[in-house]
Amino acid sequence: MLSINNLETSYGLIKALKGVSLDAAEGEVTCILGPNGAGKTTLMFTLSGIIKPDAGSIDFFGTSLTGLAAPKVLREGLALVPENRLVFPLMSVRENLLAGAYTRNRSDKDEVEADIEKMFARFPVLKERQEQNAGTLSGGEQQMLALARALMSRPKMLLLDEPSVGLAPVIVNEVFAIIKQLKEDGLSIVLVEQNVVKALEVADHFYLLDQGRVTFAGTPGEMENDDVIKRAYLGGG
Amino acid sequence: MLYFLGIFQTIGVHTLLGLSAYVLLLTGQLSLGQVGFFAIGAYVSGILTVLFSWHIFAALAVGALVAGFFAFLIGFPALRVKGLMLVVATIAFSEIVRLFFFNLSWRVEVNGFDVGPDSTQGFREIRYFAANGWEQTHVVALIWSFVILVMFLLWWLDRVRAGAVLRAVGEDDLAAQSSGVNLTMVKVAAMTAGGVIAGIGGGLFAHSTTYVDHHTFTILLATFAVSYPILGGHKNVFGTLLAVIFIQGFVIEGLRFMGDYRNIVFGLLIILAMNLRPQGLVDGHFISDIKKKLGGKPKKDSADA
Repeated sequence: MLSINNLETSYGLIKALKGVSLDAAEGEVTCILGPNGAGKTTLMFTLSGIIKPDAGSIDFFGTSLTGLAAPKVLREGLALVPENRLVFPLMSVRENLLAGAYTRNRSDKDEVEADIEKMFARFPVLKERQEQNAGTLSGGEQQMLALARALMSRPKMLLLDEPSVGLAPVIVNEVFAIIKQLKEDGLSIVLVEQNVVKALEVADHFYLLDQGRVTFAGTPGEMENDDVIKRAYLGGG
Repeated sequence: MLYFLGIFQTIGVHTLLGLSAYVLLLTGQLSLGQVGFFAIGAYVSGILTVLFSWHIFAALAVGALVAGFFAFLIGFPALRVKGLMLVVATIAFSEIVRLFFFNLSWRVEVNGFDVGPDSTQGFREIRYFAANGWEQTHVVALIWSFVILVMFLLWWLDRVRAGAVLRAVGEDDLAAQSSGVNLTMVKVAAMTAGGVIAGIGGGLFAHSTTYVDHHTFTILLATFAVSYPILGGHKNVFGTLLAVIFIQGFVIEGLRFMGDYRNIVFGLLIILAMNLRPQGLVDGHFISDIKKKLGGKPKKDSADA
């Protein structure tokens, strides 16, 4: 499991995370909600080693990830699917998937090929478009590719930064169906979302992040009954 | 004949300069600092052959290594800036280098003559080739051996994993990072490689022209350096070569009869090329496009051609 304690991260003088503590259990979907500027993406970047924290600790299945560089975090089994998809636009779909296996041992070529086939089974559209440049895919297809690419590293836990952003509602449903499947397959997921209604369908645990602090932690049931959250995120009074 | 050999020299040296910018462009770094590394290579190797009577190969190697070392150092602060800020920062670097050599006066008596860099007067006595009986054809052969070697290495790099890593960083450094690529290592390595290539180019340039001064290493040359791979396209190394031949061979030399009007044509041609071939002269479809133009069939049906 992932256990974060009092994590602080800043950009120069601006403190984006002011002591965040949260736990994400194995096999569960832990959802982090919060408005723009709450520090959600900063938290994702800090967890995946792209930014270094000033203070606090990150513990992942008994190993400390605090201050580790991005490649090492990935090798430990924590993979990030960045916000806005970020595929390699001039590389083919297949090459993007291969890039996802970058940290894996070069000798298990056959296993990597087998995993690519698994990805094609899970995301049939990627199989159809495997020789196409990733930049020519639609937004939804790129999101699938970004997900598949992260899965190619065989992570223990997936960090999903706003997978629904900028996608049509039908596509959002598809993305969440995939998340549900991954959860059923036993993958642990930390999901950052603004789409609370969809997040409620998959999440086991919720954290609310606001201005760099955790302001709520609880189960979906507790969240739906919380007045403040109901008004701010679920609409209606 | 000498005239054409001269053009070959220029094209060779400029190709090296362009390829040094090409390596960086692969990782998405647009640098106007290549002329700085080029100047370091020129002065360092020139000083070694003239003041210390070194062999040309040793001098070229050390010039390239010194340029590479400075590129390595520049690589770290350059990580923190992207896009336009990197362009400005690298201009600043190449200006520092230029002004350093502008002020450098290091005169030494060798065989009864005062030689060495003479600040504003330039560095005039880089006559290794003439003094050691090299014909101009030998010089051209030497330059092109390096061009071919560097082009081959970069072409090969593009076929192995390391090349894919460079391109991945160039396409999206955040995505590359989240796939486990060590961004610092890749960007600094590319910067260093670019410095070494520019350093070799600079050394060859200094020795083939026998004279360098700070005017040679201005922002104009830096602009040429980046425009070769941009105009040629960074799909592969041949684009850069083609762009150099096009600009140096055709626009600069071929249109010499037009005098200063060339500059207008030069601008127009660049705009035209950018519009007609936005991915560069040699893009992904280059070969199949040529085949089509020649009346041949596209790749897939080439068996019956």
